[in-house]
Amino acid sequence: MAIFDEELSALREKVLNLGSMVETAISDSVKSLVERDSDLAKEVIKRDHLINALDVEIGEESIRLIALRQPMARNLRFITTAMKITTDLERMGDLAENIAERAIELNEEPLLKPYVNIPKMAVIAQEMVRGALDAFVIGCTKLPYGVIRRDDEVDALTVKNFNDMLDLMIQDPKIIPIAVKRTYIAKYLERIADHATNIAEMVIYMCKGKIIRHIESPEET
Amino acid sequence: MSKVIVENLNLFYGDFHCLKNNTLSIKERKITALIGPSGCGKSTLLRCLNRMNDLIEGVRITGRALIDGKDIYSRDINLIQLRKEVGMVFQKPNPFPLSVYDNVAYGPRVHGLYKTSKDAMEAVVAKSLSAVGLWEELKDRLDVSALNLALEQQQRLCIARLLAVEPSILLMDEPCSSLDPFATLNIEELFLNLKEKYTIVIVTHNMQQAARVSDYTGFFLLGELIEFGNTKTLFVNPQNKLTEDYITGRFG
Repeated sequence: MAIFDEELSALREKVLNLGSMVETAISDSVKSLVERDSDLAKEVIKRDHLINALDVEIGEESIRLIALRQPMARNLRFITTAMKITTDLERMGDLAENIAERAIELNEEPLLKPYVNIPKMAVIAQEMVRGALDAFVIGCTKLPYGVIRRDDEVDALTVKNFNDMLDLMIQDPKIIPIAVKRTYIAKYLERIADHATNIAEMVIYMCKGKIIRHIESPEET
Repeated sequence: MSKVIVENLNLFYGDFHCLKNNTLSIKERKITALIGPSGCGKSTLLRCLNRMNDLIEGVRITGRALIDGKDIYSRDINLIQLRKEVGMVFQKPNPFPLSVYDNVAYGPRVHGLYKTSKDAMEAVVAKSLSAVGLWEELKDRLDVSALNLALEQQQRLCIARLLAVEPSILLMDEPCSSLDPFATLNIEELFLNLKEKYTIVIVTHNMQQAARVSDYTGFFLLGELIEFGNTKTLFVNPQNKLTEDYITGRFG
C-alpha cells in the first residue's frame, strides 16, 4: 500500500499548503489595515482565487481516494477530516478577503484611534490556525484541546472591541460608519477563530474517532 | 439475544494449534461477518458451528460451542438434526446434478418430511425458491437441471435448498467469491432479507462486503479473535491496532 500512503501524504501536503496560504492571507489583511497599506489589501483579494482553486483540488482528490481506495479506519477518518477542514480553511480565506475589503475602505478614512484589539485577535487567530494544523500533522496530542480553549480569548476581545466602538459611536455619531466597519473586522476575526476551533475538533475526531462538536468542555482523553 | 455462544474454543489439526481460545457471542437474526487473512482460522471456526471439522482426521477440539444454550459438542447431540438446524453455503455454488425442484426437495426428502403430501412438498419448494427470489423466474422451469442455471441462480438455489429444511442458522463461507459484482450485490440484498428470520454468519475476504451487510464483525489473526464488535465501529474506529493495520491494508 505504499502508493496509497504516498497519496495520503500528498493530500496532507496540499492541506498544509492551503493552511499556509490562509495564514498569510489573515496576517496580510490585518497588516494592510494596521499599516494602512491598501495595495497589500488588494493583493490579498487578488490571491483568494488561489485558495479557492486549492480547496477544489483537495475536494476532488479526497473524493477520488474514497472512490478508488475505499479507505477504512484511520485512513477514512484522515480523508474525511482533510475534506472538512479544507472547507473551514477556504471560509477563513474568504473572511481574510472581507477584512482586506474593509481595510481598503477604512484606509480612506481618518484613524479613529490606534488598532489595539484587532491585531491582538489576529495574532491569537493565526496561532489557533497554526496549532490546529500542527495537530493535524502530529496527530494525537493535547494540542487541539489548547486551540479550542483559546477561542474564549478571541470571543472576549470581540466583545471588548464592540464596547470600545460603542463608546465612540455614542460620543460622536458621525463616526458610526467607521466604527461599524471596525466592528465587522473584529467579527470576521472571531469567525476565523471559530473555524480554527472546528479544525481542532475534527483533528480530535481523526485521532480518536469521537465527534466532540457541540460539547461544552470536551475532556482530554 | 445470543443464538450462538463460543467459549474458549481451541482446535488442533494434529500438532497445529489452529483456533486459539476463541470466545464470542453471535446474536440472533443478525449478520455476523468473520474477516481476516487467509489461514487465520475464520472458515475453521465457521465449520465448528455445524461440526463439519469432525470429518477431518486428526482434529481435536476443546472448549464449548452453544446453540440456543446447548453445547453442540456434547455426546447426546444428533448430528443430522444439528446440520438441519445449521445450514452451510460454500464459495462455489454446488447444486446437485438434479432438477431445480429436486434440489430443493432433496433435504426434506432426506429428513423424511412431507412424505405423504405432494402438495405440502410443492408448497415448501415454492416458499424456499420465493425466499431467495428465484420463484418468479423459475416456476415454469422447475424440471430443468440446476447445472444449467447462471452462477448467481445456482448460489440462490443452494440457499433455497437449505431453507427447505427450516434451519435457524445459515453459515456462509465466501458465498459471493465466484460471483460478479452485480450478482454479489443481489445476493447481499438477499442476506438482508433473510436476516429477518435467520441468524447468518458469513466468512468473507471482501471487507467492503462485511462492512455493507453485517451487523457485527470479528477479526481473526493466526487463530486468535483479535477484535469483535459492532461493524460500524470496527470499520471506522477499530480499537485494536492489529485490526486497524489489517483493514487499512498494512498487511493481508
